[in-house]
Amino acid sequence: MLGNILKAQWTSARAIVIVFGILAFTIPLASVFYGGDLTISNVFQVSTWLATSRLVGQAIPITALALGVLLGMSAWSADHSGRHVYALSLPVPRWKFVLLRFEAGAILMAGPVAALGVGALLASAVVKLPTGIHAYPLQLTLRFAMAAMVMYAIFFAISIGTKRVVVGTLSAIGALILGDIALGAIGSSPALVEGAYRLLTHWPGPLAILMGRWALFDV
Amino acid sequence: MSRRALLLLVLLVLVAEPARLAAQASFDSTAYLRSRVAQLDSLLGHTSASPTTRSRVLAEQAHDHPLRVQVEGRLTLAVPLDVPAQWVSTMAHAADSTLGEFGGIPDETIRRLVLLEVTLTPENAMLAQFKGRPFASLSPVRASDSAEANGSKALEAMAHYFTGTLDSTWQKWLEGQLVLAWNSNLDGERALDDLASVGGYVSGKECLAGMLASCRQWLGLDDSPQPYSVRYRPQELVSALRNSDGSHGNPTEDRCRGGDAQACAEFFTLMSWHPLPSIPASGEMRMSLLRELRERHGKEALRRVLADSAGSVGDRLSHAAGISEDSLVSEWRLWVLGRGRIERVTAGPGDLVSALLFSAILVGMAIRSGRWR
Repeated sequence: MLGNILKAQWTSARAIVIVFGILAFTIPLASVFYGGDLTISNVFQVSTWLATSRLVGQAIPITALALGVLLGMSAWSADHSGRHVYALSLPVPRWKFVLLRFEAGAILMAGPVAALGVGALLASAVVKLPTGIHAYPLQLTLRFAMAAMVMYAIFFAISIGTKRVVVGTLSAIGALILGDIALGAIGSSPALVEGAYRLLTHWPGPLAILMGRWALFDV
Repeated sequence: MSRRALLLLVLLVLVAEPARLAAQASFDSTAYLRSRVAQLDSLLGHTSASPTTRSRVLAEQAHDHPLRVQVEGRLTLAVPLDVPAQWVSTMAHAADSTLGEFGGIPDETIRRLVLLEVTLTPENAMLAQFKGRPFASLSPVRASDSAEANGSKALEAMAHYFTGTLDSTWQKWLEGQLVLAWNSNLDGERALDDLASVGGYVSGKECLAGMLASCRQWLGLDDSPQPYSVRYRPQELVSALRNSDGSHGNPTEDRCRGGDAQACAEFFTLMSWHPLPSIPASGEMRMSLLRELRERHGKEALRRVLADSAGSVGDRLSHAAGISEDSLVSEWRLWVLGRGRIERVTAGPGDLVSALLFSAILVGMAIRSGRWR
């Protein structure tokens, strides 16, 4: 059963997996553009190199976010186009079918994650780092996987949600914005949207993993 | 791909962006109106100081050299009369707050100093009441600058004056660069970059590798009659001189250019002109040492060290912290390499648990979706 679902999902999402696989592989390598032995580098090279690594690192959470969103949205595309007849005709309980769909998407996500891991390991191997600076290929890969997983789960759930869920989500966002406008009108500082944003993006918020510094090399 | 999900994404962008802009516009217009009101008040001669109890206007003069003397918190400022009182109040409170956070400048020094806008002179009749008190030159306060930017002008003036009151050892070591504000992200990052990019100087490289004696040399902590020959390796002195402009006809210099390390040590000690700074580490790096002292040993330690005028900078830091110089340098090295920074690149177990838990909740919600009911 998983094989069939995986095959169907691969058909609709292969372009995403391939493109993001290539991207994920090249990003860490781009951060070691200079390469070489940094223990004997000139005055500015290590500094420039660290700054470049940090700059390139900013592309990693964006890649994780886009990968999760696109895979999450594509997870149900085959069912949506077939009006869910296939899902309803299967002799499996609904919860099991949802889990199989989620699992298939997660397996597809493993491709770009593994590509990032290989790229990060290769990038770490081609430079000789000065004392005090370390490479974090495995930690970075794990963090990338978790960030992509959270985004995938969000859009996986939204895509199968009913109209009521979509309307409810939009209403909640609208209510926050209206609340802020009302607060601004009475002279208070509008802080509802900011508060919600902080709640989501600061630990233990689910999106905290996407925030902060992303770099393959650091102290 | 679900059309509903796509629609939701587009709607989210459409709804969130105008709201964000609207909120910003509302904030900006309020700030703008407040500044305009303060400006008009000032022009009409109804200038009033900030409503805080610690704020007061001591004197105003509308003719000859129009100025206003304003006391805001611990700061006394004299500014042209056309600078709205509200701006002065805001900038002074921003500066006072940073001074309080820094904690190294004694309270009485802050209270005694009169910050005088650069276009005014201490001879102004309105300033007679401050006879005997020190003045420091304050860059012009501008409407186009933020309260923090204007506040940093007050901080610069305060730091410049305070550095001038310190003894010659401090003045040489600080090179007039006492930086009062410290941003963990920006300055911590810059300090790390400085420590990591020391390839040019062997003492810095060895410091990065963990050799504490080299850290002391690199930071210029120990006094020495021949600082260049202690803080730099002979070959560095030769290379620096060879890479500089042509010979000045000095025989010692020529021998140094020829590769005579002893001649280099003599030349760098005796001559006032050098192609290398007397302390290899940058000013920011040295400030990071003071900041580490403050973070790890408290404001009082910082105040003690800046008030100390006995021994080398290393001795003073060691006395203020109550630990050996090497221990302090070791502490500082670790702080710059990691603890002085607030963000880390790796995700902690908490982040992973939160992400997994949230994903599981969402999958649970997907399972319970009413679509197939």
